[in-house]
Amino acid sequence: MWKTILSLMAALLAAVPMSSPSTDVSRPARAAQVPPEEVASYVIEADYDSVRHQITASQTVVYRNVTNVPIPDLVFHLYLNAFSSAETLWMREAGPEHRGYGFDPNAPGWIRIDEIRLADGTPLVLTPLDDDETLVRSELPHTVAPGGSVVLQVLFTAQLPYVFARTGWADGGDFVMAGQWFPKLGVWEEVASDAGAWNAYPFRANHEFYADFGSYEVVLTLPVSWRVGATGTLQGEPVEVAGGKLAHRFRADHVIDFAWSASPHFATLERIVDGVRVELLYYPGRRAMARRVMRATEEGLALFEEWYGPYGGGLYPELTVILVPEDAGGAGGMEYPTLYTVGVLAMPGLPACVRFLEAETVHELAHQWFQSMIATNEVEYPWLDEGFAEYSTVRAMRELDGGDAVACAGWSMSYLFNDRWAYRMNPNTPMSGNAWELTHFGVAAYAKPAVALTTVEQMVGDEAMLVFLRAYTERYAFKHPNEADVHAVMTESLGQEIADWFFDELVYGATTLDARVVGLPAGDVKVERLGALCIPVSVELTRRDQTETSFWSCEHPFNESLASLVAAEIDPDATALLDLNLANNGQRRTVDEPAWLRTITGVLQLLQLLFRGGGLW
Amino acid sequence: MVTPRSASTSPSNDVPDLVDIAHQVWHCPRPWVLRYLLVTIPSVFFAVMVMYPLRPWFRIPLLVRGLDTRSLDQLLEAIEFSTGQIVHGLPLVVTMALIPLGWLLVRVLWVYFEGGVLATYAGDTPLSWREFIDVSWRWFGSLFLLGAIWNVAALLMGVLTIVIGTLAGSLWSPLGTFLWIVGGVAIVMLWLWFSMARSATVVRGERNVFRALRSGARVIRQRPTGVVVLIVVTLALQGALLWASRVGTTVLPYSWWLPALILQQLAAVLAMGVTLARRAGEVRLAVQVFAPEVSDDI
Repeated sequence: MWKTILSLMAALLAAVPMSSPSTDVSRPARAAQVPPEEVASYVIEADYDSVRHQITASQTVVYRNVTNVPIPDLVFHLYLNAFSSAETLWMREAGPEHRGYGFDPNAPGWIRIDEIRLADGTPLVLTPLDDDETLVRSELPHTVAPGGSVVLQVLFTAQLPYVFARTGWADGGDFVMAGQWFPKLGVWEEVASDAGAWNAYPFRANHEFYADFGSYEVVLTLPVSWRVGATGTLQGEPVEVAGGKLAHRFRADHVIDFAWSASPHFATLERIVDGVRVELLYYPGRRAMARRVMRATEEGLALFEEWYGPYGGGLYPELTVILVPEDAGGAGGMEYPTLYTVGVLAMPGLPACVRFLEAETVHELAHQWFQSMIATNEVEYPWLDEGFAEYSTVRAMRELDGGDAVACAGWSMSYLFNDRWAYRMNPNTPMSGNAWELTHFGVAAYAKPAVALTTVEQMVGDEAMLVFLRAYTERYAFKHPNEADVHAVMTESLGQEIADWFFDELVYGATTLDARVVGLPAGDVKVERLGALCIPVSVELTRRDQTETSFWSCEHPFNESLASLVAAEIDPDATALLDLNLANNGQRRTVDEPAWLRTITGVLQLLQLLFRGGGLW
Repeated sequence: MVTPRSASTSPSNDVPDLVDIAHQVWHCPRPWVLRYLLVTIPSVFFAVMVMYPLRPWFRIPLLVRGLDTRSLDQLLEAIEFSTGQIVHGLPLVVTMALIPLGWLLVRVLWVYFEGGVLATYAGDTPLSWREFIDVSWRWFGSLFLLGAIWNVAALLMGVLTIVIGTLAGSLWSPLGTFLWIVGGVAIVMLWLWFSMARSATVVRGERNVFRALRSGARVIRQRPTGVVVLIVVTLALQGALLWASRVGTTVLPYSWWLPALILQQLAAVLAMGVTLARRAGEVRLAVQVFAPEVSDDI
């Protein structure tokens, strides 16, 4: 089974060094993607009360049936109701906490549809589909025929919580991040040739979002001095309205969501990067952090456009970045179409050589391709979005100026180290599964996909990996692919064996690998493999002054003569990053004396510095 | 009795003659050798005691590669899986616990010999070993007390800086940053003051620590340029030596332990020489200020 792969790896080892991948991959410029059909479009006029932290809004929804199955009803997400108390399903599953931030039961969030009618005035009745009313359904008087559409008028009120789980207000009310703040339609899908169903679930702790593409025209009425950043593009100048407020009109086409953030304290940084206008909103005391975020955004945009194609498929002219204030970390680290937030890892005094803020930035930026443009179902396949974004972060952090995740005093640590560590804590975790069913969500959705995809990259080489990634992003831009679609692209690009292995063993399976050398220093040397996961690796054997390298396939035990060995090492280039323990991959028969002595000199130097008071005595 | 060194200044201002100071330090090797041995003997002991139980780790290629390439990925994973391989000689933990005690002993001895070191630079004629020990003993109490007061003062100033800086920063970040800088500068000034006080103590023959502190302040007031130049030059030289040592050893292959050791120790010896030059310079500044009052009792 592995002969093809072994031949490929041998050719790669001979011709291409297994070193940091290069981004210098020339390709012809690409035209913008074909825009998707606008399925669910919204026109929203929202007034924000900054004292009560409440949104009062009217919403016109135009929903087109692009399937071949008539639609008898409509299902809306009312996500904010998950934060109405500490007793909701979301809260009971979460703790209630999210990424270390607690919920304030005195400042809950909720959303209420005050009125919903068809365009002809026919009122609709809403029925909750779960106890917390995060999902509601309305029967339609007439089905929406294939190719037809329905127009709704909705009045709603949304209460934002004190910032929690990506959304809410902070800084005494002077900061607001509004995500999942309006009634949003689910996704109608054909489940059979003559049947359809809404792909929509009650809102639970681990799961994120799934929606159709559409256009959004949103008017946000805010206090006069407030600066706002939102999905899409500001249309003209804000207009003064009654009550000493300003109305900001935004428009976004071909997007799956609309989010916004506002504050009277926002300062801005602007750049034009490859024709994309990037606006970064931040609090003035965080200017140094803002510069770091902007720099990472600029470099990340260049890298991801090189790897995955134009930002937004060439259809999005702007990108908004929100660096949340210090007390709003719960709103940081989240992606929306043409907007993302950072700040979870923007600790005061974070030295420039510790680059987790840059990692957070490029991770959220990567979502602009995988969440916003490709728009997989984040509930049913969380790894397709988070995993590819996390892998992109691992890759990008190797390339950014200034070094990887940590680059201090000559010492470095890769971003992948964190993912490998998390994966090794719970390696028997399939990547596939509905978000709420995953016992170790972080491993399944983030860490394992990052490590697994990086292992594939090491196995097939950087060029081949980019071919696969480009094929995926090009073919499935604006198309909501699923796991089978990714499997198909991987098969075409990297071959049936790699693709089947990846999906069978890692996506759907939970097999693991620990390859190791045993027996040294004194006993019979053996090279063995624990776990059922098969990854062909090289083995380096050192006998006195001679070093030889062999390949070790999975079907056969290692059958090289191991007598008179000085040292043996499996996978010295660490390509099989899914190996649970790289430390036991190699052993020497004797201690490496020069290295031991060299380390002593380093310890000696440190102790001498300590004992003379650092030179200050 | 030691003949007090006569005051000498650079022709144009109060900056001490740095070349002459370097010359003095070079030709009075006793403090240099004493300090090097005082620091190096316990350091060698503890370095070997710490590293001996870890010898089995150096059969793991991942660990050696991590050290060689300065990769925390490799080093941390190698350590994570290797803790069971530590050889139980003198337990590693006990050794680590002894290091602070060793540091304390070195610190006490350092302070003990400081009187002799300062007297060496304050006098025109060399001290015999017996005189050196006598002078060291004579000033030990005052210098020890000065050191203790400095430690307490620096600790208080540090805590105050952290608390006030953090509180202010939570109200307004730039204010917090400003206060951190002010606190840091204050600690540096404090260090400078106590350092000058030690030199002034021996030069003036002043055993009372509070009068010594006043004398130290007087030197800084009357010779500000000299003090600043001396501190800046010596700290810059120490920094340069540390940087050169790091850069030099980084480029060496990890198996080249002997060249690395030679380079590191050369840098350490030179850095100690620079520290001694600073002390000699401080003594000269004190002599300049207190020339008519220089004690016969040095």
